[in-house]
Amino acid sequence: MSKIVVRDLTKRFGDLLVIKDLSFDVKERELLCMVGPSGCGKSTILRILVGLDTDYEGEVMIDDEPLTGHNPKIGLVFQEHALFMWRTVLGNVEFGLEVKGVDKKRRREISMDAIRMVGLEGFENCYPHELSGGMKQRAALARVLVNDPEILLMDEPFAAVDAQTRNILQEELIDLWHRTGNTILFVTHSIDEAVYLGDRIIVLDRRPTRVRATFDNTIPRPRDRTSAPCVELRRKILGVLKEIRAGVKEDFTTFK
Amino acid sequence: MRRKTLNIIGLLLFFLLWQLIPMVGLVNPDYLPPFSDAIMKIPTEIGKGTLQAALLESLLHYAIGFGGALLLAIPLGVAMGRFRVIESLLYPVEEMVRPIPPIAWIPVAIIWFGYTPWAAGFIIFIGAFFPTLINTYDGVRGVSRTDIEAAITLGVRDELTMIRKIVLPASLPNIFTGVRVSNAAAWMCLVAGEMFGAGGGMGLELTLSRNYMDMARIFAYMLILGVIGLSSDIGFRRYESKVLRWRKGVVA
Ligand SMILES: Nc1ncnc2c1ncn2[C@@H]1O[C@H](COP(=O)(O)OP(=O)(O)O)[C@@H](O)[C@H]1O
Ligand SMILES: [Mg+2]
Repeated sequence: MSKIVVRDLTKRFGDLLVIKDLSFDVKERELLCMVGPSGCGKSTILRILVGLDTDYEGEVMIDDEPLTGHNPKIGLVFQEHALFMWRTVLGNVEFGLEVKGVDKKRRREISMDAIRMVGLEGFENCYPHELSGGMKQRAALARVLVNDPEILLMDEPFAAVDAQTRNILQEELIDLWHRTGNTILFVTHSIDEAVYLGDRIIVLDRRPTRVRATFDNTIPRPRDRTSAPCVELRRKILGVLKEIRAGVKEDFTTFK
Repeated sequence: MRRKTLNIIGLLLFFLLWQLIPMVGLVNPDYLPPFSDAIMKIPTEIGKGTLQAALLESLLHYAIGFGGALLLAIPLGVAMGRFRVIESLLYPVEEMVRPIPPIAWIPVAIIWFGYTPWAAGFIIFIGAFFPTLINTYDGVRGVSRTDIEAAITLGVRDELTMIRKIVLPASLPNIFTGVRVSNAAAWMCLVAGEMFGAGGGMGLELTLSRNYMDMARIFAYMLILGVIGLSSDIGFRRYESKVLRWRKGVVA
């Protein structure tokens, strides 16, 4: 069953046509990775899905129901700098529950669970400026998890952390996804990341954006980044991105 | 701490110079009485009860003017920062009224309120209102879009919650700056207003001392005003660094 259905999505910013007739699905419990040239509209797609941008044409369905504003089933992890600087880690994580009016004791329990889940125990009373980049992203993830979202949208969440931390965060995300059974739409500009994480990888074209290619990724987990299938898949995706850069126009194809 | 020691040494040197310059006859002590003369006036004034009475009157004026200014300026600054319509309506008026020196309002205040605490309070209000308004407005406009959007995706639906949980805490550093500038302006306007006889207080005592030609008394009251200004600013700064622990570079 499809958790997210996008049909003929078209989006303009004034005269700038960013997305044209974009269609794709995200299946229930799938981890879908989305790559594409910078500025092609990846963040815009996530902003539309999470209800921050309602000015578009086309159809967007969540659980077979049309999107109407913000849907509490959906959580978004921003690229960076999205923690509330004036709140501690715990304060940030509790935010969603506080807004919902959950009582203090219950709030603390759920939040501490989420903090443990992302491995930030012991840092709950730190302010964001006291945390490393990787810890900030963990906190941002925990802040979304307390709302118990069925769908997680992640906008290049690990782009700003160093390579080693990024690999650890990716492993942790897979663990978390296995435990929670979320549907995840993960935007990245790293092919390595997409191949390591994704059940499927969608490559977006340049503006006006459509799906340029889709790759199924059945490489068994835990994945070895240096294994032949991983290298091969990376090579294929890189090929498509190179074509896009070179401006070769081609009908969209599905690789198996 | 080294810095604090130097601060104190600096103050002591200042008082020492103040003491010596008139004593050795560099200036006529009738015009600048030595520090000790000014200090000795303080117990005398307390003995007569004038100092306490003047101080209380001034604090009443301060409470009316400064308190009123904050109560109005912060909500208005938030409203201007959040709502286009309110901003467009109020900004030109604000920009026109703000440059008028608060002192210019003294005649107006005295005619409107007579020689009452409300007159002094009104002048203080004018002086204290704008710094807090402008800084609050700036702070609110500067709240990052990501913070607002993160709050929306985490479930904030109404503007009141957005203001309470995001806008106010995020702009608190600016609001504090405004409040401190307002505090300084408030004391300035307080003395000016009171000197014109609006409601008594420390400023009036200065005018009276001039009438008595009592220079030591003038300097005694000025010294006290200086100490009040200094300690209120220190107080605000302490409170500020406690509340704003979350800021980068501010060590908890
Ligand atoms: N609010 C906006 N107003 C005007 N143009 C925008 C706005 N947001 C994004 N864009 C433009 O839309 C395009 C896609 O942006 P974005 O979705 O952020 O790309 P990506 O995340 O893929 O890098 C870019 O060309 C960007 O300049
Ligand atoms: Mg982006």
